[in-house]
Amino acid sequence: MITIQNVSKTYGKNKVKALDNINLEVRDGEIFGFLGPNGAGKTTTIKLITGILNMDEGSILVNGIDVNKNPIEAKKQIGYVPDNPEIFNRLTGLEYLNFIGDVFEMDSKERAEKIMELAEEFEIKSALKESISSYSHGMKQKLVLIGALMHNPPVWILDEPMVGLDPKSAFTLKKMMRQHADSGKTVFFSTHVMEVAEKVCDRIGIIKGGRIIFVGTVEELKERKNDESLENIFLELIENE
Amino acid sequence: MSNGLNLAKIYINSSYGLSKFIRDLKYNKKNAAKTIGLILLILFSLSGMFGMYLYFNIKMYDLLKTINQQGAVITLAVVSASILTLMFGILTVIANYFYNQEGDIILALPIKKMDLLFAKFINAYIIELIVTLVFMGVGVGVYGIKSGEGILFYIVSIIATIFIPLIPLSICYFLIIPLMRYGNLTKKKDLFMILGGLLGVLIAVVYQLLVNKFANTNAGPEELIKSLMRENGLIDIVGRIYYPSIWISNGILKYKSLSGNLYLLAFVLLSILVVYLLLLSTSNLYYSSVIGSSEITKKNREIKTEELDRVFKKRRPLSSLFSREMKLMNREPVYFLNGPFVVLLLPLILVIMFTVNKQSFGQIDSLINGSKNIKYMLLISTGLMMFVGSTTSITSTCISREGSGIYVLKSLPIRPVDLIKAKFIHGAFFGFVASIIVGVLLLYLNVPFYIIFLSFVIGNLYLFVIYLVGIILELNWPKLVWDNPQKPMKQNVNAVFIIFINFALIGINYLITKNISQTILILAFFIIPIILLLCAYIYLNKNIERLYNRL
Ligand SMILES: Nc1ncnc2c1ncn2[C@@H]1O[C@H](COP(=O)(O)OP(=O)(O)OP(=O)(O)O)[C@@H](O)[C@H]1O
Ligand SMILES: [Mg+2]
Repeated sequence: MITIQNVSKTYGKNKVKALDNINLEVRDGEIFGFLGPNGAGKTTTIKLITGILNMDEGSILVNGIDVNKNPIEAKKQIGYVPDNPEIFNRLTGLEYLNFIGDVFEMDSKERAEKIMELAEEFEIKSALKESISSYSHGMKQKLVLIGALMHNPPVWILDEPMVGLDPKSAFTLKKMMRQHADSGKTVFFSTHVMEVAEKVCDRIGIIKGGRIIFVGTVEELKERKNDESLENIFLELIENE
Repeated sequence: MSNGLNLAKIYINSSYGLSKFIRDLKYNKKNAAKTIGLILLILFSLSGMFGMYLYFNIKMYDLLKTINQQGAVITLAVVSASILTLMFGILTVIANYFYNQEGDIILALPIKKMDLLFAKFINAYIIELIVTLVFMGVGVGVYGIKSGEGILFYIVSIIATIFIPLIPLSICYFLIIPLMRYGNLTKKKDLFMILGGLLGVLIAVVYQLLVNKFANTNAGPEELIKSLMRENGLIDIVGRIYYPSIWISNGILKYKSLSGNLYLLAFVLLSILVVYLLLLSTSNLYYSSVIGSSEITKKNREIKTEELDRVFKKRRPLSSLFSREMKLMNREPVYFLNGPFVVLLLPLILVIMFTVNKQSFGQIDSLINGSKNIKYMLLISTGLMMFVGSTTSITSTCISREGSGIYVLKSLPIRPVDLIKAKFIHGAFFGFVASIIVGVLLLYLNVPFYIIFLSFVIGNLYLFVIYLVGIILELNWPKLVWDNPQKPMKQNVNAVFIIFINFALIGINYLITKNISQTILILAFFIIPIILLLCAYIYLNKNIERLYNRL
């Protein structure tokens, strides 16, 4: 479960707030899709949840643990995939995953099983001993995904996770998201694509200009699409594909 | 060729930042001032060398005038310019291969292969021309003024100067393109960077030795001039191997006569012909050597079931963090060369200089042993350890080097204290190695063991202080946004600052050594770094969470 309360965020000395007093609750057992046009504040929200950025005001709880007050415990709940998989290029895939395993204090047997299983599923087993710099964009994305999921975190936070994945892997990921949510845990992911959201999400939230303008199911959104406030965003997210 | 010229313009702009500088002049005076400052600094640091070369040329002219051989001044200029363009050319051409600015975008444009090589050639030519201008400028200037030549002399010289780099640079390309293509060397970028670094150091050492030799020979420049001029001397050999260099000097010296003009014309035509031949014969080869230069050979090693236990080994977070620091630093050539490598290199250079140059060895020896003064021995050996230990810049670039990777770290449940500890241990480890190497060196110089031991302890205490201050600087003012690993390492103010702090500390040590008696001194040597260490530690301890979260 993720609870976001009255959170605002301004970058540096900018005048405009990147996030303006947002409130959101993502429940256990659901896949929550976070939609919005470019620059809306999706990545910013995610970086606040994962403790990468400091918020100006408000609070965020991950499974009841306050991100500000107890960052280490909160981060242990989270598996995070950043929007850009450019990471430690000089390491090999294996070294990266082992590092993640050490940080989460997983024992060797558990990590071997989990990594091999995920690598098999995403078909990058044979590349794990190579330097990350030799990976394709999609392979990097897969590696980061494995790193995020291998330690069995209850809360998944994925920033545009499908970008760069081939259809088969995207399908695998969606299937895994479903299983995770069905086991009573939480998936929070951002996307631009309404179609993806429609297919996999239990509920969605729409953010624009740093404010949340809709939270609910896709059906509810469709019913209300003649609302003046939602009409434009609906067009932006659907018709421009 | 117009496409080639356009492309060359882009290359030149992006490698020398001219248009950015002009923009800065207009809109960002501070940046422009920084650039000018840097250029002045470089000029200043080269001015000694330049002055010496100028002095040498004047001396040479005067000496040779007595036997009516003063034209050799010009020949020497031509020869040095040609040799240096050849040497720098090789480095430039290799560097251009590896910093391939074109990336894939330019390769995807409809540009002829010949234009591609032509643009690269022009880009490299600019640097070579600058080198040539310096050497020719001195030779031509000295000769021209002393013999009172007219304007035509200078015009002819300028034409010659413009063409001098063409043939040597073409030779570089003729050599390196096939090497890159058939040796598949573009894939060994890291190896080349390290070799290049070594070569740079070698040149610096050789230069230092030459300067020392020049300064020490009693006979002065005369000896050197004689050895240059004699049969089988440098000028003679180069003249025989690279005959066009004789054409050029004849062309310049006999500028008033028809035969001189013909020499010059022949040289100009030959230069153009060689460049044309280069473009004609190697463009295809060049193209195929550039294509696929970012490929990395994969070995496709599967993980086997029986090695699972070995491959997936659990480590304590701190030790995992430490080994990550080591790997990331040592595998990036820029970091490695400017970091840990220095610890090995500086003492090596010292040893080479001492062994080759007995005189300076004697000076150091008498400095350390002659005074028979424990105070100063301690000061010097501690100072040496501090100096070598602080030049690694490991902690003073520790956050900047992470770049955007720091955000990945921040998303993980890593305690800031652990991360910083790992970074500190990384620095301290190489500080430790540095002081051991310096210690061995000092032992070799007959410094008593107990002094080395004392300075080992004191030096490392000071290094701890320096490393902590480096971390504090980095946490407060990191340089996280960069597109190329040179930036967090070589263009990092924190690293420069730390070197200054180190010198300040050594300076303070010197002052107290001078003014305090021996017994209190050793106490002071221990107490000062301990107090500083405590201060830095308390500050860090108090602020670490806040600073880390703010990154
Ligand atoms: N590092 C930064 N410094 C200053 N402003 C930033 C920074 N990162 C983001 N912003 C600003 O914050 C706002 C929200 O950006 P954010 O990255 O959260 O958008 P997003 O919804 O993830 O967009 P996209 O769909 O393009 O990924 C934008 O106006 C952006 O300009
Ligand atoms: Mg984003």
